[in-house]
Amino acid sequence: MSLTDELLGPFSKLLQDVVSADGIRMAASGLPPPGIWQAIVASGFADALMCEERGGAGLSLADAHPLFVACGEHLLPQALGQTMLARTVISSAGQTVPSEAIVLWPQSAQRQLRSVVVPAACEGTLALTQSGPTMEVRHLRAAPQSADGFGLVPATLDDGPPLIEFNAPGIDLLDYAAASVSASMAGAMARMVEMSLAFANERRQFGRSLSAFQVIQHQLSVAAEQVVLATTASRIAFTNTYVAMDPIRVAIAKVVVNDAASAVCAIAHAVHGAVGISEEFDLQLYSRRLRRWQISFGSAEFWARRIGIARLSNNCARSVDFIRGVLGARTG
Amino acid sequence: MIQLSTAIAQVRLPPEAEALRDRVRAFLLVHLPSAPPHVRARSWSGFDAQFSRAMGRNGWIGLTLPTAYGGSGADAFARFVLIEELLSVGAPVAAHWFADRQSAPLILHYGSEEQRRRYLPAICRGEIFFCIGMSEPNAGSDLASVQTRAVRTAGGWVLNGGKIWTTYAHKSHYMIALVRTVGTTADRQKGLSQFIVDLALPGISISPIVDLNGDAHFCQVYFDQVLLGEDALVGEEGCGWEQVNAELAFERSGPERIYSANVLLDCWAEYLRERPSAVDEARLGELLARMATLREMSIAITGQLAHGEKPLLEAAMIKDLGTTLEQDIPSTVAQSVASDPQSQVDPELIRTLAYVAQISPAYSLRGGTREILRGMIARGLGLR
Repeated sequence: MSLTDELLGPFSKLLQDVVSADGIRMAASGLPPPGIWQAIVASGFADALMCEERGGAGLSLADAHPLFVACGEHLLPQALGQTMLARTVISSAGQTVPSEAIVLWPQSAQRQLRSVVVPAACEGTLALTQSGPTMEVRHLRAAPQSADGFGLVPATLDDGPPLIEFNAPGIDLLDYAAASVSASMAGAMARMVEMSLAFANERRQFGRSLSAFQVIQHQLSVAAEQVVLATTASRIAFTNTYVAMDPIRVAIAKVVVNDAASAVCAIAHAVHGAVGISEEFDLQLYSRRLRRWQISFGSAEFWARRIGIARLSNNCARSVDFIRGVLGARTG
Repeated sequence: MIQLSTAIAQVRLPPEAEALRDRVRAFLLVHLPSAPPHVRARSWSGFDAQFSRAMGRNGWIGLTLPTAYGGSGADAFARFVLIEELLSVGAPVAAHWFADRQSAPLILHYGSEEQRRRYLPAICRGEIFFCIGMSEPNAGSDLASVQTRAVRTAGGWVLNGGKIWTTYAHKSHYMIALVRTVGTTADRQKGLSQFIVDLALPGISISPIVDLNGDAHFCQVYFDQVLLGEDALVGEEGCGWEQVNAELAFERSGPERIYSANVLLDCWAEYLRERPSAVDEARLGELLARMATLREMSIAITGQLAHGEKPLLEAAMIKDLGTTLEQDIPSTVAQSVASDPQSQVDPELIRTLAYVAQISPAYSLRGGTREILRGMIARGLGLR
């Protein structure tokens, strides 16, 4: 049994115990149910990526990937994956790690958030911001504003003095944020397909179960393929190292996952019919998050362009060599 | 679902397999026939007996077969590297291709010792070529309804009927034919058997069928009272269906299901270097992202096969996803090159695009159609 297998079982059990559909709905307003984060912190999983000398579990990014996927599968309101990454960055800089949930907040040189949707208030109470080489840990305030179009209340960055400030050259938080979101998306998609398979087997129309219709079977086969593709792609961003993320690997993840999410949402909703559109039915919790994640930290087109530019500026004449160069860059 | 997607664990090509890469490249520098991209784009449909014999001399046909039968005893990862190198330059591998990926493994697993000794070393040397006789005029995807029949006679079998869409039958020495030996089409999968048919035997006639690009690789093959020896039967009589399914499973997850349009992709990338645009960079990046992901999946499945596992569902998924990518490449290139009606595009790029766009529907037909695969996947997911 691998290290990952040993951790994934207990971690999934924990999420199953603490995250409920009611809790997810409650969190949308900005206030996650009390107890979820305390249980997570007590479990120690937030330190999974931190090295052992600093009290962490010392997992590589690749080892931790299934945990990131599981967060999306259960729609954990807090950004635990981003917190794991933030804790590694903060502790690697020799700073003391805060116990709160931390969202990643990559910024331009002009301190503009590099995401057209703002991290949600429920995702954390602190932000790790980056502008150039400067990283800061800041408080987040639930903005005195209503939910955004996706039903989540956005967070606001506190503009007082930062709690922690340090330099971390060579790290681009946009890569970390996009990678983390990609893995969560793969998990959420897997859950949507599971729900769709169960619904297709139960629901009867025209005197037989939906799953007996070939057109439904083929659509669900495509959806399942997209989940496997998306999961594999998101793992490409998670190298066998502690902190380094390769921007082209992250780009592969976000491009494939974003495209897969469109297909999976379309098919899952088609299979569920009008039921899936209702607020009361849980499918929408997943599809609405996926639509929001699709435009968080860059679209497929933004990331795809990075790959295209890298390919065209590379000397190789063959795409296979370019891909081998990118995938061979895994170290450790 | 989660189990299925995490089953594709991270696997890397081992260094011994990677070590083969440079040797293959050096070989291709010498032996790859010089041909323009629209010809190289034929990839695994390109037939060149001389090239195949040169491959055989290097021990690269039947790479994974035991050395006792003329193979090189290498592992599946080495084969991945070899195929990846051959296909990414569009090497003409068709002459030995079907024996290499389907017939030789079949004979190794199900054949008699005498059959192994007789056929496998000659396959590995690139001396004998095989074709695969499955489809019939009234049996395409529905293989269980084949009507070609072999009847026992003194000292062997009499074969009557015919096969269609048999790739390169007219240039092959042998066919592995799936035929009925017992019962009728009403018995479906029961009563089918596989035979090695020497295509030089009396009573066999072969007519090539010209494809929409003007190439002749498909053939129609007629059997009229063809006398086969006892030793023509492969494996067990009546077990043809199980044997064929095992054979098809070998071929679904390799690089050949990802790279069929790469000669076009790379031609187009060279063209884009001269005139980069944001739209084209994104188009190229999207294709490469999928290709990189499918390569990871394919290597992972190669690892599972090497461990004796049978990841049938995952292999079927790779083939469906991979052939979709292969078909999206010509669509994307077409969008790009004609996005400005006045642009001057290299006629060779257009010819290569034309070839690939026109043949690309075959990518998701050959070796089992997309629709058959999706039905298999649905069953694996517990639907129906």
